[in-house]
Parts: sequence; structure tokens; C-alpha cells
Amino acid sequence: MRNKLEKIINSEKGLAYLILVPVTVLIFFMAYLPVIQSFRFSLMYYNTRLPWKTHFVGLHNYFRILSEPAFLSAFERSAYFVIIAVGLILSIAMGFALLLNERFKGRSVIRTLVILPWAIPPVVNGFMWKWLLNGDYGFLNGLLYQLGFISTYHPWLMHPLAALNWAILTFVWRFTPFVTILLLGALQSIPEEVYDSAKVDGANARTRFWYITLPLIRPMLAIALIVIMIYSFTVFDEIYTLTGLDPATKTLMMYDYELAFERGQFGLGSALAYMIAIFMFLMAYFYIKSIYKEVEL
Amino acid sequence: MLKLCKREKIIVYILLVIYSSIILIPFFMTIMNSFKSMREIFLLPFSLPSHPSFRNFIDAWHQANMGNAYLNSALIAFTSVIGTTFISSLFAYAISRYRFPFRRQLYMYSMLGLAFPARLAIIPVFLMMKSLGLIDTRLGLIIIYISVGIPFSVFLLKNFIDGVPLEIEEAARIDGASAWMIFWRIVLPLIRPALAIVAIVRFVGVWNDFFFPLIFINTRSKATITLAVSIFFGEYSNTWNLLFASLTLAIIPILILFLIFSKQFISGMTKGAIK
Repeated sequence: MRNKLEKIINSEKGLAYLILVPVTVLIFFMAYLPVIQSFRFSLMYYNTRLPWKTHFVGLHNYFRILSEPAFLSAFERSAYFVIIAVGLILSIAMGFALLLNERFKGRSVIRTLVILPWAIPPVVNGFMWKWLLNGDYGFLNGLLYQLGFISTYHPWLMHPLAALNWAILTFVWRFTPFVTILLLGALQSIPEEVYDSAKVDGANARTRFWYITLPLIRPMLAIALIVIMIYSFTVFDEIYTLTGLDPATKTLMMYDYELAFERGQFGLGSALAYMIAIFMFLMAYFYIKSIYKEVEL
Repeated sequence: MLKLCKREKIIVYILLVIYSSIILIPFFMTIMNSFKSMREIFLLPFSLPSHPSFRNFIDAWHQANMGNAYLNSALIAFTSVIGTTFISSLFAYAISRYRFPFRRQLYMYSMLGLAFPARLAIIPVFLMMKSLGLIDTRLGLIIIYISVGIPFSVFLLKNFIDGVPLEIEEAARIDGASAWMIFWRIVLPLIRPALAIVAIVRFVGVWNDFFFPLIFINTRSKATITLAVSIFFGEYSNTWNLLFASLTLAIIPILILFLIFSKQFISGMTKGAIK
């Protein structure tokens, strides 16, 4: 047995088969089959509490979800979440990537520090902010009260729109560092001579940013944008710990979790998951396409 | 670099100080609060702990069974990180170096596995795991994490291997080294920086994950660290002091790992490992 294995891995062909076949099968079972199965379930009435009632219903689940007011409001919240998160993260990360690309004392310390929020568990992040924002004794209330900005403590997470905004900020706080590092990498690949010659030609910092930096890091910006979109669309941990299944922060992802795992509606849940995935796919597709168009012109 | 003048530089410093404090304050408060009593957390949110004690840590440790959770998280994280890194590097190596039919298609196939986020395909994965008897087991989570990590790791490692010159491997082949020896003794050491990135990114991803344990684990003794932390909400609701102590305990290993590897990680991320 041992000898046989040794014989296989010692030839190129054997080694190739040994890794390619199992991984191909694994990816099929863990990535492709679930996609196919999701589609199958999305066409069925499938409630885990009434398993004997499972039957084929065609596109009924899709129509039912689309006509549900809860879906529309969850969709609105998700769209709002993604748009605000993408805008905030990209602009903050861009700004700080530019700053971190400058030469200054203590740069490496700050670079290390800046990435920290990305490394901590999102659950910890959610709980941390839950306290910072707590209405009765939280940090933010205490701070603003001491500074004289507010005269009474404010329940930050009670108002629906405020709760959603804070959920976005909590996510932005964790995710910005990762994007900052991505963009910093792109910035560092720009040779310094390009800036030097532009400076000689009399271009000021702003012009240099718009006409040199931005076009050169555009591919990385596109990647960053898609990464942020995918992650902000599927945020779960932070919302779950910050506000739980509160309707105010019920995005499509939270709605899907509630449908499938709180109510046991696997059919409806699969249909919703499918719609979310298709929607994300289309966004990414059109975005990539529009970028390539611009490059070709 | 934008080559800023002196006044612009001062603004840069001010902005950096603000940014750093926005990042540091939540950490600082969490750690401070884990040394305070409940009363102190409420009444004196800004002060340093007046009687710093490890009482909260001991209580949190026992109530949430943190020791056990640490072991579970460590076991799951290490096994799946080693699994993903090993499988992906061999797979990426074969795709990058060997010539066989449908090579490009196979690469696309493994990348496209990433297109449908695992969280959205959770229902069929859940049912599949259930039929295999892997619900509420650590092995089930390990299998999921290994597969979830493959596309990203293969992508990164393949790009990195593509950039490694062929000559060394060819010389070894002429000297009679076997396929396995070339991979294990020559290629792996050469791609160490990329392996480090894959390992760190995956470790952070697995250690921090809450979604899969929440759905797959029901037994307390199998809870991961993120599940253990969430116990202080709901069941022991409002025990903020214990919650903070458990949060601190949950981030300590990640902080240590980070302080050791952050330089390597950031230089790897910014200097070509991801391109």
C-alpha cells in the first residue's frame, strides 16, 4: 500500500491524477452541486417542519417572495447597505491608502495597526459596537454627553434607519482596513518616476492623483469594488449580534436566514438565495463589462 | 507617492491620528471593560478600572466553557488551514506546471466555485452534511472550511507559481528527482511567502467565522470561540462584564498571531503576492 502510493506520487502523471481528480470532485460536491440543488429546492414547497408535504410547485416560490412586502423592504435595506458601504469604504480606504503610501515616521506601526479590525471576529465587532451604541450607558452617549453635544442619552439603535446606518458603520469599520491594504498594494506598484516627471511638468498633487494614480489603480479599484459588494451583500455576523433579527436591519441575507433556519422554509429560502446570487452576479458582470469598455476606448 | 509639502504633511498626520484612534478606541474600551465590574462599566465608562481583577475572565471562562471552545476553534482552524494550504498548493502546482487537456477549463472550473457565495448555498450543504451524519461535528465544519478556502488559495498560489522560474525544477528533474520530491522539496519552499498569505487569510477567516458554527453546531461542548462568546447574550443577558472578558479572550490569539505575522502579511499583500 505504502509502496503503491509512493510509486504514484513519484511520477508526474500519478501526482497530477492524485490531486486533480479528488479536488475536482470536492469542488463539484461543495460548490456546483449545492447551486444545482438550491435551484431544485427553490422550485419545491419544502418546509422542514412539514417534510411529508414536500412537492413541486414550479416558480411559485419566486412569485410569492417577489410579492411579499417583507422582501421589498429587505431588498431596499440591502441596496442601501451596499451602496453606502461601497461608497464609504472605497473613499476612506482610498484616502488612507494614499496617506500610508507617503513616507513618514512610524509608518510601519500604523500599517500594522490599521489592519487590526479586519482580523478580529465580526461577532466581537458586533458586540463591541452594541455596547458603544447602547442607549442607557453606552460609550457614545457618555462621550457626547460629557462634551455637551446631547443633554439626554439617546437610544441609537432604536430608530430603524439609525440602526441600519450603525450596522453599516460597524461593517465599514471592520472592512475598510482590508480594502486599504489592497489599494496600498496597487499604489506601491506605481513607479515613482511617473510622479517625479509629472511634478517637473508642474502638475499639483490633485492633478497627479486624478491623471496618474487613479487610472493606474483602476483594475484594483474594480476588484475592491466587487469584493466589497459581495461581502456587504452577505453581512450576517455583525447584524446578528448588533440588532439580531430586528426588522429594522433585516437585509436580504438576514431575511433569508430567518426564512430558512428560523421558519424552516427551505423552498422559499432557496428561491431567495438564488435571487440574491443572480442579482450579485449581474452587478459584478455589468460592472466588469463597463470597465473593459472604458479601457478599450 | 504624491510628494506633499510641509503643510499637507501636517494634515496627513492629523488624519492618521484620527483614523488610528477610531480603530483603537473600541479595542481599548473592550479590554478595559473586561477588568471592570458591571457597576463600573455602567457608571464610569471612561475611567480605568479602579480595582482591576481577573474575576471576569475566570467567570467567563467557566460559564462559557471557553477552554473547550479554544480547543475546538484551534483544532478546526489548524486542520482546515493545513488542509486548504496543502491541497491548494498541489492543485495550483499541477495546473501551473503540468500540461494536460482541459487545463484552462479546469482552472476556470475551480475559480467559478467562488462565484456562488457559500453562505447562499447553505441549505443544500446543510442537507448534504445531514445525510452524511456530519451535522453537529467538528469534521463537518473542517470539510466546509477546506472547500470554501480552495478557490481563493488556488488563485493566489497559481499566480505565484507562474512567476517562479522553471530552471531549478528542470535541473532537479535532470538529477533524477521524482515528481513528489520536486514539489515537496523545491516548489513548496520557493512559494513560502504565498503560502504564508494563504494560511493567514484562511486562519483569520475560519477562526472568526460565526455563520457556519451557528447553523451546524448544536452541542455546547463542540462550540467554537465565536459561538461561546455569543452565549453571554440571551441566556445570561446583560452580563456585559463577562461578555467583555470573553471578547478579550476571543481576540487574544488573533492579536498574537497578528503581531507576529503582520509585517510579513502586509508586505506579502502589497508586494506582489496578490496580483
